[in-house]
Amino acid sequence: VLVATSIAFPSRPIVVVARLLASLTTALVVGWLWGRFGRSPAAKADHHHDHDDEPRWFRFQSTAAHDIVQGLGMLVVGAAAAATMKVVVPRSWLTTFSGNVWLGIVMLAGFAVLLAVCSVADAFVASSLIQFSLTARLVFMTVGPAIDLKLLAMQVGTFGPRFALRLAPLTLLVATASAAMFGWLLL
Amino acid sequence: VQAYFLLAFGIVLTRVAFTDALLNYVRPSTRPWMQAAGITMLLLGVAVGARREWAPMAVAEGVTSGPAQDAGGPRDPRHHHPGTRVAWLVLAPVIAIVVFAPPALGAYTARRPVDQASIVAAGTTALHPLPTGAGPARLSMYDFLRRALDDSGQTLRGHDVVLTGFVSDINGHTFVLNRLVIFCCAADAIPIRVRVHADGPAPADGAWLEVTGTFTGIAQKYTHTPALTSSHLAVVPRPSETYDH
Repeated sequence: VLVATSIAFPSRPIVVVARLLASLTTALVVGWLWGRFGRSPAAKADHHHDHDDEPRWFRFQSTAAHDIVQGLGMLVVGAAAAATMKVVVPRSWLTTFSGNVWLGIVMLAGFAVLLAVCSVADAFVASSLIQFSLTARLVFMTVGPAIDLKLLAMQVGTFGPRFALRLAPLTLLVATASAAMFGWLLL
Repeated sequence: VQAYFLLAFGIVLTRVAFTDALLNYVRPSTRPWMQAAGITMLLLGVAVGARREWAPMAVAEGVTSGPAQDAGGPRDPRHHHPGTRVAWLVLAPVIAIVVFAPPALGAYTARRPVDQASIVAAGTTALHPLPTGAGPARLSMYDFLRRALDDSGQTLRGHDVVLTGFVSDINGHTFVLNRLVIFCCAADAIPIRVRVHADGPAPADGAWLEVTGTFTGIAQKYTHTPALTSSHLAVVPRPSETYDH
């Protein structure tokens, strides 16, 4: 991802550093906040342990099968939502709020969630959003891999809707704030 | 049921991963990963199915255990975990691939042009000079675009190039040659467009062409669309690698 970013922003290597720091900070802060104030999602995972009488290898297979099928189903939901957004939302909307720094940040944070571009490709998308400030584009690159429609769908699948509906907004806020901060400091 | 979902998905994924169909959706470099994933799913499906669905013991236990057990008691080897309904959606891509095999993206995506200067961040790596005197140079559209936008297209001056893409926006003697570039998968496809001027009969809309010609400048300032004056057009079949990357 960082290599792709450096290719997409060849004249601004600092973007790579800013992206690394902003993403790392997001992960650390969300993890710390959740560890301190959040409830563990273990309740949902508990049911895996009722296979106690099976050999470990069998239990591994059952768990893997369950998680893969469940995750795939959720991925279908997320992919369908992202694909719809991509076709329905005109690209011209993207440029609407590019003039204002703060609106640009909010706008690109929202688009990162809705468009669900994969993290290897999002740097190229970001580098193409030349109407926006570099900070807003850093927000796009930090929020996208942390939380987007397909990840939200998979969190719902893995941890349950109540957990996901708290984790996702938290991640969005922290990622936006962290990227805005590093954008302001470094770019 | 999980075993059947895994098998269905595994069969389709493996089939896609071992054929040219893969190239419609992702970069060729992902092939080994897709193959490994497909085979893993197949094996897992068989292993879980053999123990849960088809083993005589599993069936017998399913029959002898009462309806209460069937509803998901932990002792029932076929018990369902909560929220398995979403797993049925796994069948959506399976059915899509089997029934209408979504083709590669094409004209519809190309109709949403972007500022092409943003696709190629100029000066990424050094551009090698094109070989001289060896006939026209065969370039990818991506490479051509990079050269066209770098240093006013210096590396293209005095060279004939051959580009492959599909036709749109025919207008008299000019048309647009399109190729979609992907960085990861078809979901991030971006169109690369080159305006071609060619004397002689106009090609058919949507046709795949090999265009031989020379770079003449930037035709469209706002989208940074390069222009090419063509000396020769050849209709070719759609390449199996539809995308540039």
